[in-house]
Amino acid sequence: MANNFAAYSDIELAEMLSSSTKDSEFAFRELYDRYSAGVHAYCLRVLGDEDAAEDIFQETFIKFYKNVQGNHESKNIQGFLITIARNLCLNYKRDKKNTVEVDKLDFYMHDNQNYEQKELLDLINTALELVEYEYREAFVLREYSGFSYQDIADACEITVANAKSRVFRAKQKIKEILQPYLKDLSKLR
Amino acid sequence: MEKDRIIHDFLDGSLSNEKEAELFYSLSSDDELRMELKEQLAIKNAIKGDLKAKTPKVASTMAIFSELGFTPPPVANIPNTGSAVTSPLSKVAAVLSKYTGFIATGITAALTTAVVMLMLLEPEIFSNSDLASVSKDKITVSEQNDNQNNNNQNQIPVISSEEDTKQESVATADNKETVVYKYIYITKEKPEAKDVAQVESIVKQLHQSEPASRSLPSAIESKVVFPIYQSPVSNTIVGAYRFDKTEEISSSNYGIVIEFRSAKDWTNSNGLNPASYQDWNNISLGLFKSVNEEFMLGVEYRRENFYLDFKGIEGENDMYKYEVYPNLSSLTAAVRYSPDFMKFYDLSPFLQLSLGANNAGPIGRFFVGTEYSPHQSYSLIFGIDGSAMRYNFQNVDYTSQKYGIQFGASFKF
Repeated sequence: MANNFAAYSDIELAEMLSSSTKDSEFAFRELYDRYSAGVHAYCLRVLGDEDAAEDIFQETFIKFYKNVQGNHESKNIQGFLITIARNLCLNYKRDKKNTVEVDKLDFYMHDNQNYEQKELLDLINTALELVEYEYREAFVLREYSGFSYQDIADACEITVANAKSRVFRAKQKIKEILQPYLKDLSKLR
Repeated sequence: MEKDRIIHDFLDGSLSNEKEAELFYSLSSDDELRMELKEQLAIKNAIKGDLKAKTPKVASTMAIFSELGFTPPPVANIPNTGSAVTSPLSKVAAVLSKYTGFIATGITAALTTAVVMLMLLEPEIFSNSDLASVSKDKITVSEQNDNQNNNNQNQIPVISSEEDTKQESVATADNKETVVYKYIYITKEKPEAKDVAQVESIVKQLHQSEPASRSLPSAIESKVVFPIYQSPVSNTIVGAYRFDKTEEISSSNYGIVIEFRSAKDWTNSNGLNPASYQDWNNISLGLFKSVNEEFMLGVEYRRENFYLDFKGIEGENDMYKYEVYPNLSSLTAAVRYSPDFMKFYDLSPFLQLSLGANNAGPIGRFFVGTEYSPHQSYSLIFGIDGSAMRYNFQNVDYTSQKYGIQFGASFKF
């Protein structure tokens, strides 16, 4: 990379994206490095469908780049990305019936991860799909994407108190679903 | 406040100091509270370790960057990252790729130095004068010719006026294909009619002694010009020699050719946009050395798009089909064959074969084209080329091909 783009703020990088210089590519790469994980986690855990999540994840960044090139003036790049992803996810959800695949309840050993943690993660993800969309979305933004409550409120167009409440309610629901497992887990420790 | 809410707020960082102190105190005696803390911590830690959610698939990253016409980030850039790879040639290619910048800089510096040295040592080569640009070679040949044909050159007296020469030059403008150059070194004596007659006689003699194929048609002969140039050094005629274009083109001093080309390729990329490299894209730089009139050897550096289509297993045994269109740096060794029997006027058809590698794998090419040389110091290049590249992903070999046109220019030194 020609310059140290990590030192630039989101706004500066977004301005570079609007330009037609070669810095545009490096700026996009830097923003992608910063926010792709959060956006991907949002798409995957909110939708619960890997293929759809990958498609929407790709579309999110492509739309983002094209929008920013059209002189978008958002000061919150992460929020802007999530807003794009959210709209795409909502469109997808409208077109698809919300179902849970039974085979996803199966869990398995993974070479590189702690077995219990992997097992719990699978259960959490399965339980997450059973949580209402609004709660799930707020929970994912908070726990996976690391959003502040203010950012969640902005992205979901709700109040901060409502955002806090949704995150808490989602966690409660997940715990309810996982209760038998969590009790066993606590006993083992 | 309920226990789960307290623990949630604590882990969330939004519990007040007062409540936090109460929580720590209660934890020592409240089993239910401890269990709640364990459960929520377990959930939090599990989510924290959810790398799958936080790691976009390589295919997605490549798709995004390709769609936008960007070069993918290093981790997803080249198919043979990770477990893939590694023929010895690929390793060589990787090393070459790593030092591409140094190599390019070195070659550029060497070429620049060579050009500067050439300008200093042989300034006439870079002169705008037509005479200067051809004089060295012509005089050399002329001297040979002179030895064969002229027995009385030292006796040749002075000739001609500038006005005569100008008029003759105008007359020759219509007959470029049969121009004959003649160099006569003269003294500053006043021209006399008998001397002119003597020179004409010598010229006639020279023409008669040339091979039939080189003699001038009589209809044109009357328009031929014999420019006469004054020299303080000698008063001898150094001879006459007829040049044709083929000899002119191949008469570079060092036999070194620098070639720049651009390319337009056709490949079935399923609508995928090629990754771009703004500074240098689908452009090649070549450095050749003439072995003889027909063969040249050299190296070529090329930045080029190559569509790659391969399959691989990612994550939990999911099979993916990847389609990428990266921009690669290729370095090849080339041999170019320009058969004499195919040379026709200013055109010089050739066949070039190249072998080398880039940062994805070994590569081979053919290039069929022609040079058009309006001047001995440069040529225009046009042709069709085909490339095949071998690469490896997850220990499976793949081959990719492309065809295209090449166009550019070469400069001879």
